[in-house]
Amino acid sequence: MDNLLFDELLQEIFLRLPPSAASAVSLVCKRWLILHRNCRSSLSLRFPSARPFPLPAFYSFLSCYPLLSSLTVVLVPPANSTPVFADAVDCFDVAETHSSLLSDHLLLAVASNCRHLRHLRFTPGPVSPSALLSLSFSCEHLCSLCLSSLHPLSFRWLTSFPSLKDLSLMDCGSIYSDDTLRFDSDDYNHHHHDLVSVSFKSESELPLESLCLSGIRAGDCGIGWLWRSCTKLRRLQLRSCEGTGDGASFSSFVRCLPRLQELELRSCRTIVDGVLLRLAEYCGSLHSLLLYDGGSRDGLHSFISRCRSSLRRLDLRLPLDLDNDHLSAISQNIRGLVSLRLQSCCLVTGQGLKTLSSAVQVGLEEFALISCDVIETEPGLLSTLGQSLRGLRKLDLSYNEILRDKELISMLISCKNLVDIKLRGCRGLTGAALLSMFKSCKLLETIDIKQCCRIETDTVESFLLNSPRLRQVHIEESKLTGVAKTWVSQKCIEIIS
Amino acid sequence: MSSTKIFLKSSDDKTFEIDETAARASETLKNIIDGGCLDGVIPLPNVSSNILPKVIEYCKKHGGDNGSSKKIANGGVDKDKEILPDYDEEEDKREKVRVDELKKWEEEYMDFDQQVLYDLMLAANYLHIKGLLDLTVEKAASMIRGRTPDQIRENFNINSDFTPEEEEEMILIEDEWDDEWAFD
Repeated sequence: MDNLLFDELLQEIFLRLPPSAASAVSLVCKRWLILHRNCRSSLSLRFPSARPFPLPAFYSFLSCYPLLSSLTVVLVPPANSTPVFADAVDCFDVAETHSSLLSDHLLLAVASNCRHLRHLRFTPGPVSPSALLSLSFSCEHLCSLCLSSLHPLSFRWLTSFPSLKDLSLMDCGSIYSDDTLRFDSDDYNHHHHDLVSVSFKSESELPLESLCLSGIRAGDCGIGWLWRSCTKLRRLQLRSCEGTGDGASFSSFVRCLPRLQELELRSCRTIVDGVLLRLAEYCGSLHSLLLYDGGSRDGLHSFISRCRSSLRRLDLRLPLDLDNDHLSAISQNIRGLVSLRLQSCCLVTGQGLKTLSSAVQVGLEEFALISCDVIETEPGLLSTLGQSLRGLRKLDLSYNEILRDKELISMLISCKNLVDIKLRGCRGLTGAALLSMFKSCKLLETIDIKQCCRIETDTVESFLLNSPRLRQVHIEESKLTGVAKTWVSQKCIEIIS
Repeated sequence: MSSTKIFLKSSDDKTFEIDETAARASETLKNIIDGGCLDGVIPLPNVSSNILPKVIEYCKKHGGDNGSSKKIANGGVDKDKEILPDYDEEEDKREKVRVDELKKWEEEYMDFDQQVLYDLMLAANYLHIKGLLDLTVEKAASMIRGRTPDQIRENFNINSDFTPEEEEEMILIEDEWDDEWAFD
């Protein structure tokens, strides 16, 4: 009977099914099994480490999904799992094998089976450049790649991926502290280029637009080549980096800056000032900057005053390095700010925020003041800010434990365009704040009121009932009454608990 | 609104009448009309007289009014709106009534057996009526979700062609993937 439906229609139906239906569909009949596997384009595999690993089974499993365009392979720590393939003949024993060897074998399995891959997240362990070269032969259309680490730390293989736009490397250094293992890094090759015959061009223009690197150490010198080759970079994220891989000179690093639009620096204390100095000098296209935990007061001030880019988004979590001087520099030098997020900025006062808000005015669409003492110490501040920032669409006041209803309500009255409000962990708020919200903010679509322990279930119920555009609520399951749950399902509101 | 009449001929040679505006809900018919090759009656050799009235009923409801079906699709909210107009409570209410009414109509319209579902899906595919194809595909998907393989075979009238051994092996494999190499 189902022969009446031709393949395309049947696959159209399969595409509407949740992943949980996969095993039932595969067991219906052979035709369904093959069609279902053929239309699967995305797969995520997790398997326990430290047990004999059935490599042949992994090969044949992947070969059943010829059209995969997106694949995630991760290793999870061994838990209570018993080895499933323990008595299989060709088991691959992880415990007795170097982990980089296993991950290379897994990557080769991916390379030989998945020829249509565009996105690969592969983090079972360090992989070698030669395994990546094999991947490049079969997956020439790969456009995003996430790896846990490289061994050795070398990036020349990138020249073999003509479409790769997005690269993440979760750990650049810490696994191999032995320097001899880093001996054949790219800069070694670079310096000895005349002597050593290298099959790659020494300087290339990579197509990379987004790069995310973690854990570059002060002594790492293999990354200079990468910076010099990333001339098209638009987005750069650095996390827990002690250096940029070119000594203290930044001479290679600056080559990746000219077209940069977004920069994120997390926990990079030793390099923040140096990076900001070069950023002001070499980059005129930056529109988004995130700085968490790092940087000096003066370094940041000099960047804000000298920045040539027209910054639109600033996200700062700098407990002791940010004060009113920075805010007034922002209001003088950075026009056109669309989003400003401040977290744990304990030296900022109401005066600084008022100056800033009257400078940016209706242009500002997103404003966050997370865990900032100033809200508690200056009554009436939020009301003044609300009157200036009438264009606000997103407001985040999370973790201000002493925030009172009155303060919040007096701000919301002026901000009628809000679609997204986050109040997580504001323990001082009660149902009164919630009730005023659906009167003032008719456009509200998303709200986070987790850990707001003084907000009662009956006000939540009435809030859900009366907010016409609500789509998503972050709240504890226990705060929802039976009636509230009925409303949530009728109005298709997503609850995230 | 008065409109030109179009005549459609089913595979078993019966002729049906439809307004041009309604017929435009079908991409295939729209192309024939706009192509100017309209020669009295449009033959539809893939659609029988059992199913054609059902298709016409859908087109009448949706022809010339693509707006409301779109709004159902994205949950009643136009997310692409850049500039927000002042919020209009009355308009929102009227919209809600319209959407509710349409949902109710669809519920009644979709109340039929499996044979009709297949025929309607094929007709919607052949005539390129996206809204109707979505509805029928969704209904078929709902006959799979949360069911066991046996229930699915019954719903779709399929006989398993796995040998008992194969089936047992399949179940083992699927279970292993589920537990150990779980899909996200």
